[in-house]
Amino acid sequence: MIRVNGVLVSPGRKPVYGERMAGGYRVWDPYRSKLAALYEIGGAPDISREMVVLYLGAAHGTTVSHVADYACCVYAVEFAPGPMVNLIKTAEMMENIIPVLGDAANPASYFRLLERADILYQDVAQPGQAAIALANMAFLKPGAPFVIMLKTRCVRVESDPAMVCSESVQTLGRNGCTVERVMWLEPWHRDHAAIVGKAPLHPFTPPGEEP
Amino acid sequence: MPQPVQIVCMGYETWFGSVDGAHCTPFTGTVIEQAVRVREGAGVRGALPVPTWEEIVACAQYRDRAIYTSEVRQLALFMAREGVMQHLRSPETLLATRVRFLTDLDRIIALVESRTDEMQVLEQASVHPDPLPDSVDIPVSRCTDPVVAAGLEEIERLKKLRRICADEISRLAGKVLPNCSMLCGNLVAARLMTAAGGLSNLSRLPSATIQVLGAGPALFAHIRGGAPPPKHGIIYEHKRVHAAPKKARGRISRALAARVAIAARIDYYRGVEDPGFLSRSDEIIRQRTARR
Repeated sequence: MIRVNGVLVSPGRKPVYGERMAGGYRVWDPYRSKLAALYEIGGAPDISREMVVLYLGAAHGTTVSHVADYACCVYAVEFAPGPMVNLIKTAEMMENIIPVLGDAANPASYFRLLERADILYQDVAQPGQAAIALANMAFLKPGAPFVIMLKTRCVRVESDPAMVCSESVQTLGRNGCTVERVMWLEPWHRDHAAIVGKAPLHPFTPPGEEP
Repeated sequence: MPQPVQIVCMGYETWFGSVDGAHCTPFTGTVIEQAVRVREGAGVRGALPVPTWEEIVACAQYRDRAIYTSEVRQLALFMAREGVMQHLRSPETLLATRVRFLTDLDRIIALVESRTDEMQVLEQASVHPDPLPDSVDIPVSRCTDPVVAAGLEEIERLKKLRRICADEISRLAGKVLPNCSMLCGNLVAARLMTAAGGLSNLSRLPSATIQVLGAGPALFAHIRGGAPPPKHGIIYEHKRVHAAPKKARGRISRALAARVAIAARIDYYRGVEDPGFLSRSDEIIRQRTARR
């Protein structure tokens, strides 16, 4: 990951959504992007030029645009048509963003557009986030890293964020994933945890889909 | 726990071709035909086969990875644009965007009105130093202050815009939500649908949630502890609820929400007015309202 005077940047030559520039590169603000916050903490796996990224919950494409600066290409899945309008605009500016209008909880609706990915990044705002990640693990190369941003408030508002988080970690572990670490994104984002781990080494079938 | 075993998928279809074991037949069709092949994948059950880019490049006979990226990106952009357009043109989306516009308009009108009133009071006070006038209704033409005069004109214009917007919402709600509209009024029905995030979402909500839709802050205050549970949200705007005595409002909004929950399902799955259901609902709500 590239830093200019200690500031996290991505190697893009001109601003995409009005962000500042530093040393000719695009500034990647940890207050705006949870992935940037995770890099600040030092918890995210590096993304390199040859990596194919599967990005679930792409939203308006701000974080996606930074990831695309580092990666080979990014498959950016977003369900809501509103944010998709902006994501399409971002994708029109960057040749390695592949926007996918689809529901991450229903991967059958878009899997035929995908290729095997080297890393999964998930930032969806709907309940059942661990299940969504598991349903998409089949699109990763065996043992590939994943980062799941857990918006604990989106799972269940009334329960303790730490409990919501440990439930998700257990669900992932039970289904063959290796969870390496869980990191809270304080002070950049409240009630958000990042689960970092590796996809199952063996071919994998999403739960409930066995014959 | 044993690892789930992947079904070994000998053959599968995808947008760039048909893969059968090691053999592959490229698909050479238009972007529209490719999109159809992607959408057909939604029907696939069990394992979802996804190839590596090396396999794709070999199968589709692309010169290199860059060509593949540009091809798949073109297809994806086409599908995304198409999906967004389809969504933006649907009567449901038109309804939701106009409801949000109306909500903002109401806020804007209230704000402009209160500030203009404030200036008008001050203006009158300076014209007649004592005593303060009871009424501040000066005709627009007699307003000497240019800001107040323009403000009053603007309020008239905004109110006209609001009328146009509300009429359009009423018309659209009658089409999109025929049964909900008959039960709780076109505007309330439209607001409920917008708060739920669309008709399909509304049709899947339990009536207890519909009852308190729009009462978010009150509901969270209750869940976090202390505060009493909210009795009603948007549904309060319907005259059956807000015209009722305070003690009865909880009961009435509960009865109304129970019927709206069913009406939303009829609207979503059938989309036409059901007179039998509506007269039955009226009877049930009246009974519950009359109790005690």
